[in-house]
Amino acid sequence: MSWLRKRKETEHRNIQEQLSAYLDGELLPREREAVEQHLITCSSCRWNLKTLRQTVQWTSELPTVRVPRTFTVPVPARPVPAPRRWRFVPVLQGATALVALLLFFVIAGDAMLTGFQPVTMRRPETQALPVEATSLAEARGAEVTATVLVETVVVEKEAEGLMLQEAPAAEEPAAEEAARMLEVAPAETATVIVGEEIRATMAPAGGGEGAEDARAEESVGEETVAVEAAAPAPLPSEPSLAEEAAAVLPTATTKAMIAPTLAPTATTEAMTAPTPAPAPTEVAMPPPSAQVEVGEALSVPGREPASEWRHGLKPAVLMGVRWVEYALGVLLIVLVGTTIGAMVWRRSKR
Amino acid sequence: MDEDALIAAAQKGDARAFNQLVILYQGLAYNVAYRILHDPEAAADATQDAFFSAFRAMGKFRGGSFKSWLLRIVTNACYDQLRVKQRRPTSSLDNLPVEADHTFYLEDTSELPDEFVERQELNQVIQVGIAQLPIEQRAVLVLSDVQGLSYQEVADVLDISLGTVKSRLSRGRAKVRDFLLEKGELLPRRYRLSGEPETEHTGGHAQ
Repeated sequence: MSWLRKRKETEHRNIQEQLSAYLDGELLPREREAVEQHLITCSSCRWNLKTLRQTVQWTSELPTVRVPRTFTVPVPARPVPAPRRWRFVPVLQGATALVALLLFFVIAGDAMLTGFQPVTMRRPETQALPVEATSLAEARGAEVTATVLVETVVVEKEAEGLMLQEAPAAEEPAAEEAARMLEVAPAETATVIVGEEIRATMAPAGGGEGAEDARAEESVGEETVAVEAAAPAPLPSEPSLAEEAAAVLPTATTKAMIAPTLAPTATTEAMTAPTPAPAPTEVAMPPPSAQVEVGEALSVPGREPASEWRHGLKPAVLMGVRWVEYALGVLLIVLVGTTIGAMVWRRSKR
Repeated sequence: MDEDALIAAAQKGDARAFNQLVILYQGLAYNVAYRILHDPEAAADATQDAFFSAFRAMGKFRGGSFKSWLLRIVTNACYDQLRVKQRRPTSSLDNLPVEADHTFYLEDTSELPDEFVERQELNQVIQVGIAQLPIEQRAVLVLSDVQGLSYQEVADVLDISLGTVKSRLSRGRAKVRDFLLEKGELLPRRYRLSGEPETEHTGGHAQ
Protein backbone atom coordinates (compact mmCIF):
# COMPACT_ATOMS: atom_id res chain seq x y z
CA MET A 1 0.00 0.00 0.00
CA SER A 2 3.03 2.28 0.01
CA TRP A 3 2.38 3.44 -3.56
CA LEU A 4 -1.00 4.77 -2.43
CA ARG A 5 0.62 6.56 0.48
CA LYS A 6 3.21 8.10 -1.82
CA ARG A 7 0.54 9.18 -4.25
CA LYS A 8 -1.35 10.88 -1.44
CA GLU A 9 1.79 12.65 -0.29
CA THR A 10 2.44 13.99 -3.77
CA GLU A 11 -1.14 15.14 -4.07
CA HIS A 12 -0.92 16.84 -0.68
CA ARG A 13 2.17 18.79 -1.72
CA ASN A 14 0.58 19.84 -4.98
CA ILE A 15 -2.55 20.98 -3.21
CA GLN A 16 -0.48 22.94 -0.69
CA GLU A 17 1.18 24.82 -3.53
CA GLN A 18 -2.16 25.59 -5.10
CA LEU A 19 -3.81 26.88 -1.95
CA SER A 20 -2.53 30.40 -2.59
CA ALA A 21 -4.00 30.50 -6.08
CA TYR A 22 -7.12 28.81 -4.79
CA LEU A 23 -7.55 31.72 -2.39
CA ASP A 24 -7.44 34.12 -5.29
CA GLY A 25 -9.75 32.08 -7.49
CA GLU A 26 -6.95 31.68 -10.01
CA LEU A 27 -7.29 27.93 -10.50
CA LEU A 28 -8.87 26.10 -13.38
CA PRO A 29 -12.20 24.49 -12.48
CA ARG A 30 -10.64 21.02 -12.51
CA GLU A 31 -7.82 22.13 -10.19
CA ARG A 32 -10.24 23.88 -7.88
CA GLU A 33 -12.33 20.76 -7.63
CA ALA A 34 -9.31 18.70 -6.76
CA VAL A 35 -8.32 21.17 -4.03
CA GLU A 36 -11.79 21.17 -2.55
CA GLN A 37 -11.87 17.36 -2.58
CA HIS A 38 -8.53 17.27 -0.81
CA LEU A 39 -9.53 19.86 1.78
CA ILE A 40 -12.39 17.66 2.94
CA THR A 41 -10.02 15.02 4.12
CA CYS A 42 -6.83 17.01 4.95
CA SER A 43 -6.94 19.06 8.15
CA SER A 44 -3.35 20.21 7.64
CA CYS A 45 -4.31 21.81 4.34
CA ARG A 46 -7.42 23.29 5.90
CA TRP A 47 -5.22 24.93 8.57
CA ASN A 48 -2.80 25.96 5.89
CA LEU A 49 -5.54 27.59 3.86
CA LYS A 50 -7.00 29.30 6.89
CA THR A 51 -3.71 30.85 8.03
CA LEU A 52 -2.79 31.86 4.48
CA ARG A 53 -6.14 33.53 4.04
CA GLN A 54 -5.63 35.42 7.30
CA THR A 55 -2.13 36.46 6.28
CA VAL A 56 -3.28 37.70 2.89
CA GLN A 57 -6.13 39.55 4.56
CA TRP A 58 -3.83 41.32 6.99
CA THR A 59 -1.31 42.08 4.28
CA SER A 60 -3.94 43.68 2.12
CA GLU A 61 -4.95 45.84 5.06
CA LEU A 62 -1.54 47.38 5.45
CA PRO A 63 -2.13 51.11 5.52
CA THR A 64 -1.18 53.31 2.62
CA VAL A 65 1.79 55.38 3.66
CA ARG A 66 1.76 59.07 3.01
CA VAL A 67 4.10 60.39 0.36
CA PRO A 68 6.88 62.30 2.15
CA ARG A 69 7.21 64.80 -0.70
CA THR A 70 6.27 65.26 -4.32
CA PHE A 71 8.39 63.55 -6.93
CA THR A 72 7.81 65.93 -9.81
CA VAL A 73 10.60 66.46 -12.27
CA PRO A 74 12.00 69.98 -12.67
CA VAL A 75 10.21 72.04 -15.28
CA PRO A 76 12.44 74.31 -17.37
CA ALA A 77 11.75 77.89 -16.32
CA ARG A 78 9.21 79.45 -18.71
CA PRO A 79 10.03 77.33 -21.70
CA VAL A 80 7.52 78.96 -24.05
CA PRO A 81 8.21 82.72 -23.77
CA ALA A 82 11.98 82.32 -23.91
CA PRO A 83 12.31 81.21 -27.53
CA ARG A 84 9.74 83.79 -28.57
CA ARG A 85 11.96 86.51 -27.17
CA TRP A 86 14.98 85.17 -29.04
CA ARG A 87 13.08 85.12 -32.31
CA PHE A 88 12.54 88.89 -32.03
CA VAL A 89 16.10 89.85 -32.91
CA PRO A 90 16.50 87.78 -36.09
CA VAL A 91 13.27 89.31 -37.40
CA LEU A 92 14.66 92.80 -36.78
CA GLN A 93 17.93 91.88 -38.43
CA GLY A 94 16.12 90.49 -41.43
CA ALA A 95 13.96 93.58 -41.77
CA THR A 96 17.00 95.83 -41.55
CA ALA A 97 18.80 93.89 -44.24
CA LEU A 98 15.72 93.94 -46.43
CA VAL A 99 15.23 97.69 -46.13
CA ALA A 100 18.94 98.30 -46.74
CA LEU A 101 18.78 96.17 -49.87
CA LEU A 102 15.65 97.95 -51.07
CA LEU A 103 17.21 101.35 -50.49
CA PHE A 104 20.31 100.30 -52.37
CA PHE A 105 18.33 99.22 -55.41
CA VAL A 106 16.19 102.35 -55.44
CA ILE A 107 19.23 104.58 -55.21
CA ALA A 108 21.08 102.55 -57.83
CA GLY A 109 18.10 102.78 -60.15
CA ASP A 110 17.82 106.49 -59.56
CA ALA A 111 21.51 106.99 -60.23
CA MET A 112 21.44 104.99 -63.44
CA LEU A 113 18.34 106.67 -64.81
CA THR A 114 18.90 110.25 -63.79
CA GLY A 115 22.40 110.58 -62.48
CA PHE A 116 20.94 112.17 -59.40
CA GLN A 117 19.76 115.14 -61.33
CA PRO A 118 18.24 117.55 -58.86
CA VAL A 119 14.53 118.02 -59.04
CA THR A 120 13.66 121.68 -59.27
CA MET A 121 10.57 122.77 -57.57
CA ARG A 122 8.02 125.11 -58.97
CA ARG A 123 9.17 128.66 -59.06
CA PRO A 124 7.13 131.79 -58.88
CA GLU A 125 6.27 133.01 -62.35
CA THR A 126 7.42 136.50 -61.59
CA GLN A 127 10.88 135.07 -61.19
CA ALA A 128 10.68 132.85 -64.18
CA LEU A 129 9.44 135.42 -66.54
CA PRO A 130 12.40 137.76 -66.65
CA VAL A 131 14.75 134.83 -67.06
CA GLU A 132 12.72 133.56 -69.93
CA ALA A 133 12.45 136.94 -71.42
CA THR A 134 16.18 137.54 -71.21
CA SER A 135 17.03 134.18 -72.62
CA LEU A 136 14.55 134.68 -75.34
CA ALA A 137 16.12 137.95 -76.16
CA GLU A 138 19.57 136.41 -76.22
CA ALA A 139 18.56 133.40 -78.19
CA ARG A 140 16.50 135.10 -80.79
CA GLY A 141 18.02 138.43 -81.24
CA ALA A 142 16.24 141.14 -83.10
CA GLU A 143 13.65 141.30 -85.84
CA VAL A 144 11.56 138.31 -84.91
CA THR A 145 7.86 138.69 -84.56
CA ALA A 146 5.71 136.62 -82.32
CA THR A 147 4.02 135.00 -85.27
CA VAL A 148 7.31 134.16 -86.88
CA LEU A 149 8.35 132.71 -83.62
CA VAL A 150 5.36 130.47 -83.58
CA GLU A 151 6.01 129.50 -87.14
CA THR A 152 9.58 128.73 -86.30
CA VAL A 153 8.41 126.59 -83.44
CA VAL A 154 6.22 124.53 -85.67
CA VAL A 155 8.77 124.28 -88.41
CA GLU A 156 11.59 123.40 -86.07
CA LYS A 157 9.50 120.82 -84.46
CA GLU A 158 8.76 119.16 -87.69
CA ALA A 159 12.32 119.51 -88.92
CA GLU A 160 13.85 117.97 -85.82
CA GLY A 161 11.32 115.20 -85.99
CA LEU A 162 10.40 115.59 -82.42
CA MET A 163 8.23 112.69 -81.69
CA LEU A 164 5.13 113.97 -80.11
CA GLN A 165 3.70 110.51 -79.96
CA GLU A 166 6.46 109.25 -77.76
CA ALA A 167 6.54 112.31 -75.62
CA PRO A 168 6.35 111.52 -71.95
CA ALA A 169 3.58 114.02 -71.65
CA ALA A 170 1.34 111.40 -73.20
CA GLU A 171 -0.05 110.81 -69.78
CA GLU A 172 -1.51 114.24 -69.80
CA PRO A 173 -4.68 114.80 -71.71
CA ALA A 174 -3.67 118.33 -72.50
CA ALA A 175 -0.46 117.16 -74.07
CA GLU A 176 -2.30 114.54 -76.07
CA GLU A 177 -4.73 117.09 -77.22
CA ALA A 178 -1.89 119.33 -78.21
CA ALA A 179 -0.17 116.57 -80.07
CA ARG A 180 -3.34 115.70 -81.93
CA MET A 181 -3.96 119.27 -82.84
CA LEU A 182 -0.43 119.79 -83.98
CA GLU A 183 -0.45 116.66 -86.03
CA VAL A 184 -3.78 117.25 -87.63
CA ALA A 185 -3.65 120.97 -88.15
CA PRO A 186 -1.40 122.35 -90.84
CA ALA A 187 1.42 124.47 -89.64
CA GLU A 188 -0.16 127.55 -91.11
CA THR A 189 -3.37 127.04 -89.23
CA ALA A 190 -1.56 126.63 -86.01
CA THR A 191 0.47 129.65 -86.72
CA VAL A 192 -2.52 131.65 -87.59
CA ILE A 193 -4.34 130.63 -84.49
CA VAL A 194 -1.46 131.35 -82.24
CA GLY A 195 -0.65 134.43 -84.11
CA GLU A 196 -4.17 135.66 -83.70
CA GLU A 197 -4.04 134.81 -80.13
CA ILE A 198 -0.95 136.79 -79.64
CA ARG A 199 -2.35 139.59 -81.62
CA ALA A 200 -5.45 139.49 -79.54
CA THR A 201 -3.40 139.46 -76.46
CA MET A 202 -1.20 142.22 -77.53
CA ALA A 203 -3.90 144.35 -78.95
CA PRO A 204 -5.12 145.77 -75.70
CA ALA A 205 -1.70 145.81 -74.17
CA GLY A 206 0.59 147.03 -76.84
CA GLY A 207 -1.90 149.29 -78.56
CA GLY A 208 -1.60 149.51 -82.35
CA GLU A 209 1.69 147.73 -82.65
CA GLY A 210 1.43 144.96 -85.26
CA ALA A 211 2.77 141.60 -84.43
CA GLU A 212 4.45 141.23 -87.79
CA ASP A 213 6.42 144.39 -87.45
CA ALA A 214 7.47 144.04 -83.90
CA ARG A 215 11.13 143.81 -83.28
CA ALA A 216 12.37 141.16 -80.92
CA GLU A 217 13.50 143.34 -78.12
CA GLU A 218 10.47 145.42 -78.35
CA SER A 219 8.17 142.47 -78.67
CA VAL A 220 9.70 140.73 -75.71
CA GLY A 221 9.34 143.83 -73.75
CA GLU A 222 5.79 144.21 -74.86
CA GLU A 223 5.05 140.62 -74.08
CA THR A 224 6.39 140.90 -70.59
CA VAL A 225 4.34 143.92 -70.10
CA ALA A 226 1.42 142.09 -71.55
CA VAL A 227 1.81 139.22 -69.15
CA GLU A 228 2.15 141.50 -66.23
CA ALA A 229 -0.82 143.40 -67.35
CA ALA A 230 -2.74 140.24 -68.01
CA ALA A 231 -4.80 140.17 -64.90
CA PRO A 232 -6.22 143.65 -65.10
CA ALA A 233 -6.50 143.43 -68.87
CA PRO A 234 -9.92 144.26 -70.18
CA LEU A 235 -11.99 141.80 -72.09
CA PRO A 236 -11.01 141.49 -75.72
CA SER A 237 -13.33 143.21 -78.11
CA GLU A 238 -14.10 139.97 -79.88
CA PRO A 239 -15.13 137.25 -77.50
CA SER A 240 -14.89 134.57 -80.19
CA LEU A 241 -11.29 135.38 -80.77
CA ALA A 242 -10.60 135.28 -77.09
CA GLU A 243 -12.30 131.96 -76.82
CA GLU A 244 -10.29 130.62 -79.68
CA ALA A 245 -7.16 131.82 -78.07
CA ALA A 246 -8.16 130.22 -74.82
CA ALA A 247 -8.79 126.98 -76.64
CA VAL A 248 -5.34 127.14 -78.08
CA LEU A 249 -3.91 128.03 -74.75
CA PRO A 250 -3.35 124.49 -73.46
CA THR A 251 -1.83 123.56 -76.72
CA ALA A 252 0.67 126.30 -76.54
CA THR A 253 1.49 125.49 -72.94
CA THR A 254 1.90 121.84 -73.69
CA LYS A 255 4.10 122.64 -76.60
CA ALA A 256 6.36 124.35 -74.18
CA MET A 257 6.39 121.27 -72.04
CA ILE A 258 7.02 118.68 -74.66
CA ALA A 259 9.46 120.65 -76.69
CA PRO A 260 12.05 121.79 -74.21
CA THR A 261 14.67 122.29 -76.84
CA LEU A 262 12.48 124.98 -78.17
CA ALA A 263 11.72 126.21 -74.75
CA PRO A 264 12.53 129.85 -75.35
CA THR A 265 10.25 130.07 -78.28
CA ALA A 266 7.51 127.90 -77.03
CA THR A 267 7.47 129.39 -73.62
CA THR A 268 7.11 132.75 -75.09
CA GLU A 269 3.87 131.59 -76.48
CA ALA A 270 3.03 129.93 -73.25
CA MET A 271 3.75 133.01 -71.31
CA THR A 272 1.93 135.10 -73.78
CA ALA A 273 -1.01 132.83 -73.88
CA PRO A 274 -2.18 133.29 -70.31
CA THR A 275 -2.92 136.88 -71.09
CA PRO A 276 -6.38 136.33 -72.44
CA ALA A 277 -6.99 133.42 -70.14
CA PRO A 278 -8.61 135.35 -67.35
CA ALA A 279 -10.79 137.14 -69.86
CA PRO A 280 -13.32 134.47 -70.83
CA THR A 281 -14.59 133.39 -67.49
CA GLU A 282 -16.21 130.25 -68.85
CA VAL A 283 -13.04 128.86 -70.33
CA ALA A 284 -11.04 126.71 -68.01
CA MET A 285 -7.69 127.83 -66.85
CA PRO A 286 -4.71 125.83 -68.01
CA PRO A 287 -4.21 122.79 -65.82
CA PRO A 288 -2.02 123.52 -62.80
CA SER A 289 0.36 120.76 -63.71
CA ALA A 290 0.93 122.38 -67.03
CA GLN A 291 1.76 125.57 -65.23
CA VAL A 292 4.26 123.79 -63.08
CA GLU A 293 5.79 122.22 -66.10
CA VAL A 294 6.09 125.56 -67.76
CA GLY A 295 7.71 126.95 -64.67
CA GLU A 296 10.16 124.11 -64.63
CA ALA A 297 10.89 124.37 -68.26
CA LEU A 298 11.57 128.01 -67.74
CA SER A 299 13.81 127.41 -64.83
CA VAL A 300 16.29 125.53 -66.95
CA PRO A 301 16.80 128.11 -69.63
CA GLY A 302 18.49 126.94 -72.75
CA ARG A 303 21.28 124.97 -71.20
CA GLU A 304 20.03 121.68 -69.81
CA PRO A 305 16.47 121.18 -70.77
CA ALA A 306 17.28 118.10 -72.86
CA SER A 307 18.98 116.21 -70.02
CA GLU A 308 16.10 117.02 -67.76
CA TRP A 309 13.89 114.83 -69.88
CA ARG A 310 16.32 112.23 -71.03
CA HIS A 311 15.52 109.79 -68.24
CA GLY A 312 11.91 109.79 -69.24
CA LEU A 313 10.67 110.49 -65.75
CA LYS A 314 8.29 113.27 -65.01
CA PRO A 315 9.53 115.51 -62.22
CA ALA A 316 6.55 114.35 -60.13
CA VAL A 317 7.66 110.74 -60.50
CA LEU A 318 11.22 111.72 -59.79
CA MET A 319 10.06 113.54 -56.70
CA GLY A 320 8.21 110.39 -55.63
CA VAL A 321 11.36 108.36 -56.06
CA ARG A 322 13.30 110.86 -53.99
CA TRP A 323 10.69 110.71 -51.27
CA VAL A 324 10.82 106.91 -51.28
CA GLU A 325 14.58 107.13 -50.89
CA TYR A 326 14.19 109.51 -48.03
CA ALA A 327 11.56 107.38 -46.28
CA LEU A 328 13.59 104.20 -46.73
CA GLY A 329 16.64 105.95 -45.33
CA VAL A 330 14.76 107.06 -42.24
CA LEU A 331 13.26 103.57 -41.81
CA LEU A 332 16.69 102.02 -42.15
CA ILE A 333 18.13 104.28 -39.48
CA VAL A 334 15.27 103.43 -37.12
CA LEU A 335 15.63 99.71 -37.81
CA VAL A 336 19.37 99.70 -37.31
CA GLY A 337 18.93 101.50 -34.00
CA THR A 338 16.22 99.14 -32.84
CA THR A 339 18.17 96.06 -33.89
CA ILE A 340 21.31 97.13 -32.11
CA GLY A 341 19.26 98.01 -29.05
CA ALA A 342 17.57 94.61 -29.07
CA MET A 343 20.87 92.79 -29.44
CA VAL A 344 22.45 94.72 -26.60
CA TRP A 345 19.39 94.07 -24.44
CA ARG A 346 19.50 90.36 -25.20
CA ARG A 347 23.17 90.18 -24.32
CA SER A 348 22.59 91.99 -21.06
CA LYS A 349 19.71 89.58 -20.30
CA ARG A 350 22.08 86.67 -20.60
CA MET B 1 -6.76 66.74 -19.42
CA ASP B 2 -7.18 62.99 -19.32
CA GLU B 3 -4.37 60.55 -18.80
CA ASP B 4 -3.87 59.76 -22.49
CA ALA B 5 -3.49 63.43 -23.34
CA LEU B 6 -1.05 63.90 -20.49
CA ILE B 7 0.94 60.91 -21.66
CA ALA B 8 0.98 62.22 -25.22
CA ALA B 9 2.15 65.64 -24.06
CA ALA B 10 4.77 64.12 -21.76
CA GLN B 11 6.07 62.05 -24.66
CA LYS B 12 6.76 65.31 -26.49
CA GLY B 13 8.86 66.45 -23.53
CA ASP B 14 6.20 68.45 -21.70
CA ALA B 15 7.47 68.30 -18.14
CA ARG B 16 4.32 69.94 -16.81
CA ALA B 17 2.13 67.25 -18.30
CA PHE B 18 4.46 64.58 -16.98
CA ASN B 19 4.33 66.11 -13.52
CA GLN B 20 0.57 65.77 -13.57
CA LEU B 21 1.12 62.08 -14.16
CA VAL B 22 3.58 62.12 -11.28
CA ILE B 23 0.91 63.59 -9.02
CA LEU B 24 -1.49 60.87 -10.12
CA TYR B 25 0.93 57.99 -9.58
CA GLN B 26 3.42 59.04 -6.94
CA GLY B 27 1.33 57.57 -4.11
CA LEU B 28 1.25 54.17 -5.74
CA ALA B 29 4.90 54.33 -6.73
CA TYR B 30 6.09 55.39 -3.30
CA ASN B 31 4.01 52.78 -1.49
CA VAL B 32 5.32 49.98 -3.68
CA ALA B 33 8.88 51.19 -3.10
CA TYR B 34 8.28 51.58 0.60
CA ARG B 35 6.85 48.06 1.02
CA ILE B 36 9.63 46.53 -1.05
CA LEU B 37 12.48 48.48 0.54
CA HIS B 38 11.08 48.89 4.05
CA ASP B 39 12.92 52.19 4.32
CA PRO B 40 11.30 55.59 3.83
CA GLU B 41 14.43 57.32 2.54
CA ALA B 42 15.42 54.56 0.17
CA ALA B 43 11.83 54.40 -1.00
CA ALA B 44 11.82 58.15 -1.71
CA ASP B 45 15.09 57.85 -3.60
CA ALA B 46 13.81 54.93 -5.61
CA THR B 47 10.58 56.77 -6.40
CA GLN B 48 12.39 59.90 -7.53
CA ASP B 49 14.81 57.88 -9.62
CA ALA B 50 11.90 56.01 -11.14
CA PHE B 51 10.12 59.19 -12.19
CA PHE B 52 13.29 60.67 -13.65
CA SER B 53 13.87 57.48 -15.58
CA ALA B 54 10.25 57.38 -16.69
CA PHE B 55 10.40 60.97 -17.96
CA ARG B 56 13.53 60.19 -19.94
CA ALA B 57 12.00 56.97 -21.25
CA MET B 58 8.58 58.43 -22.13
CA GLY B 59 9.45 58.19 -25.79
CA LYS B 60 9.81 54.43 -25.43
CA PHE B 61 6.36 54.00 -23.93
CA ARG B 62 4.30 52.24 -26.57
CA GLY B 63 0.80 52.39 -25.18
CA GLY B 64 -0.78 49.75 -23.01
CA SER B 65 -1.03 50.24 -19.28
CA PHE B 66 0.93 53.26 -18.14
CA LYS B 67 0.53 52.06 -14.56
CA SER B 68 2.19 48.72 -15.35
CA TRP B 69 4.94 50.42 -17.34
CA LEU B 70 5.62 52.85 -14.52
CA LEU B 71 5.55 50.15 -11.83
CA ARG B 72 8.14 48.15 -13.70
CA ILE B 73 10.43 51.16 -13.61
CA VAL B 74 9.68 51.57 -9.91
CA THR B 75 10.52 47.96 -9.07
CA ASN B 76 13.70 48.21 -11.12
CA ALA B 77 14.61 51.35 -9.20
CA CYS B 78 14.00 49.38 -5.99
CA TYR B 79 16.31 46.62 -7.18
CA ASP B 80 18.94 49.27 -7.88
CA GLN B 81 18.52 50.71 -4.40
CA LEU B 82 18.96 47.30 -2.84
CA ARG B 83 21.93 46.48 -5.00
CA VAL B 84 23.74 49.73 -4.36
CA LYS B 85 23.12 50.03 -0.65
CA GLN B 86 23.17 46.37 0.27
CA ARG B 87 20.67 47.41 2.85
CA ARG B 88 19.57 44.34 4.68
CA PRO B 89 20.23 40.65 4.42
CA THR B 90 17.18 38.94 3.05
CA SER B 91 18.24 35.35 3.48
CA SER B 92 17.77 34.53 7.12
CA LEU B 93 14.69 34.83 9.19
CA ASP B 94 16.83 34.83 12.32
CA ASN B 95 18.37 38.27 11.84
CA LEU B 96 15.16 40.16 12.12
CA PRO B 97 15.32 43.59 13.68
CA VAL B 98 11.71 43.14 14.74
CA GLU B 99 12.48 43.95 18.35
CA ALA B 100 13.83 47.39 17.56
CA ASP B 101 11.05 48.22 15.14
CA HIS B 102 8.55 46.86 17.56
CA THR B 103 9.73 49.08 20.42
CA PHE B 104 9.74 52.01 18.02
CA TYR B 105 6.14 51.35 17.35
CA LEU B 106 5.34 51.09 21.04
CA GLU B 107 6.75 54.50 21.81
CA ASP B 108 4.29 56.85 23.38
CA THR B 109 1.15 55.07 22.37
CA SER B 110 -0.68 55.69 25.62
CA GLU B 111 -3.04 58.18 24.01
CA LEU B 112 -4.07 55.90 21.19
CA PRO B 113 -6.86 53.34 21.26
CA ASP B 114 -5.71 49.83 22.07
CA GLU B 115 -6.96 48.36 18.86
CA PHE B 116 -5.11 50.91 16.75
CA VAL B 117 -1.90 50.32 18.62
CA GLU B 118 -2.24 46.57 18.32
CA ARG B 119 -2.90 46.85 14.65
CA GLN B 120 0.23 48.93 14.26
CA GLU B 121 2.16 46.13 15.88
CA LEU B 122 0.71 43.56 13.54
CA ASN B 123 1.45 45.75 10.52
CA GLN B 124 5.01 46.16 11.65
CA VAL B 125 5.53 42.42 11.90
CA ILE B 126 3.97 41.84 8.49
CA GLN B 127 6.13 44.55 6.97
CA VAL B 128 9.24 43.01 8.41
CA GLY B 129 8.07 39.59 7.28
CA ILE B 130 7.73 40.91 3.75
CA ALA B 131 11.15 42.55 3.99
CA GLN B 132 12.67 39.17 4.79
CA LEU B 133 11.50 37.64 1.54
CA PRO B 134 13.81 37.18 -1.42
CA ILE B 135 13.42 40.19 -3.65
CA GLU B 136 11.56 38.34 -6.40
CA GLN B 137 8.93 37.02 -4.00
CA ARG B 138 8.77 40.36 -2.25
CA ALA B 139 7.99 42.26 -5.42
CA VAL B 140 5.26 39.82 -6.40
CA LEU B 141 3.71 39.81 -2.92
CA VAL B 142 3.76 43.60 -2.60
CA LEU B 143 2.20 44.12 -6.03
CA SER B 144 -0.40 41.42 -5.54
CA ASP B 145 -1.35 41.45 -1.86
CA VAL B 146 -0.46 44.99 -0.80
CA GLN B 147 -1.43 46.81 -3.99
CA GLY B 148 -4.08 44.39 -5.15
CA LEU B 149 -2.85 43.86 -8.72
CA SER B 150 -4.15 40.82 -10.58
CA TYR B 151 -1.83 37.97 -11.50
CA GLN B 152 -1.78 39.16 -15.06
CA GLU B 153 -0.87 42.71 -14.05
CA VAL B 154 1.92 41.43 -11.82
CA ALA B 155 3.17 39.30 -14.68
CA ASP B 156 3.16 42.35 -16.96
CA VAL B 157 4.95 44.57 -14.48
CA LEU B 158 7.67 42.11 -13.66
CA ASP B 159 7.79 40.60 -17.14
CA ILE B 160 7.37 37.06 -15.82
CA SER B 161 4.90 34.30 -16.60
CA LEU B 162 1.63 33.72 -14.78
CA GLY B 163 2.97 30.44 -13.44
CA THR B 164 5.96 32.22 -11.97
CA VAL B 165 3.67 34.77 -10.37
CA LYS B 166 1.63 31.97 -8.83
CA SER B 167 4.55 30.04 -7.42
CA ARG B 168 6.42 33.07 -6.11
CA LEU B 169 3.30 34.37 -4.48
CA SER B 170 2.52 31.03 -2.91
CA ARG B 171 5.98 30.77 -1.38
CA GLY B 172 6.06 34.37 -0.30
CA ARG B 173 2.71 34.16 1.46
CA ALA B 174 3.70 30.98 3.20
CA LYS B 175 6.89 32.59 4.46
CA VAL B 176 5.08 35.64 5.77
CA ARG B 177 2.56 33.36 7.44
CA ASP B 178 5.38 31.36 9.02
CA PHE B 179 7.00 34.58 10.13
CA LEU B 180 3.77 35.66 11.81
CA LEU B 181 3.57 32.30 13.54
CA GLU B 182 7.14 32.62 14.65
CA LYS B 183 6.65 36.13 16.05
CA GLY B 184 3.23 35.34 17.36
CA GLU B 185 4.20 35.83 20.95
CA LEU B 186 4.99 39.50 20.14
CA LEU B 187 1.55 40.08 18.81
CA PRO B 188 -1.67 40.75 20.63
CA ARG B 189 -3.71 37.61 21.19
CA ARG B 190 -6.31 38.46 18.58
CA TYR B 191 -3.65 38.65 15.85
CA ARG B 192 -2.02 35.36 16.69
CA LEU B 193 -2.49 32.66 14.15
CA SER B 194 -3.66 29.39 15.66
CA GLY B 195 -0.49 27.53 16.50
CA GLU B 196 -0.75 24.06 15.04
CA PRO B 197 -2.81 22.39 12.42
CA GLU B 198 -4.92 19.49 13.62
CA THR B 199 -3.02 16.27 13.29
CA GLU B 200 -5.79 14.13 11.94
CA HIS B 201 -4.08 14.13 8.59
CA THR B 202 -1.63 11.28 8.29
CA GLY B 203 0.16 12.40 5.17
CA GLY B 204 3.75 13.44 4.64
CA HIS B 205 3.18 16.69 6.48
CA ALA B 206 4.58 15.23 9.70
CA GLN B 207 7.93 14.56 8.08
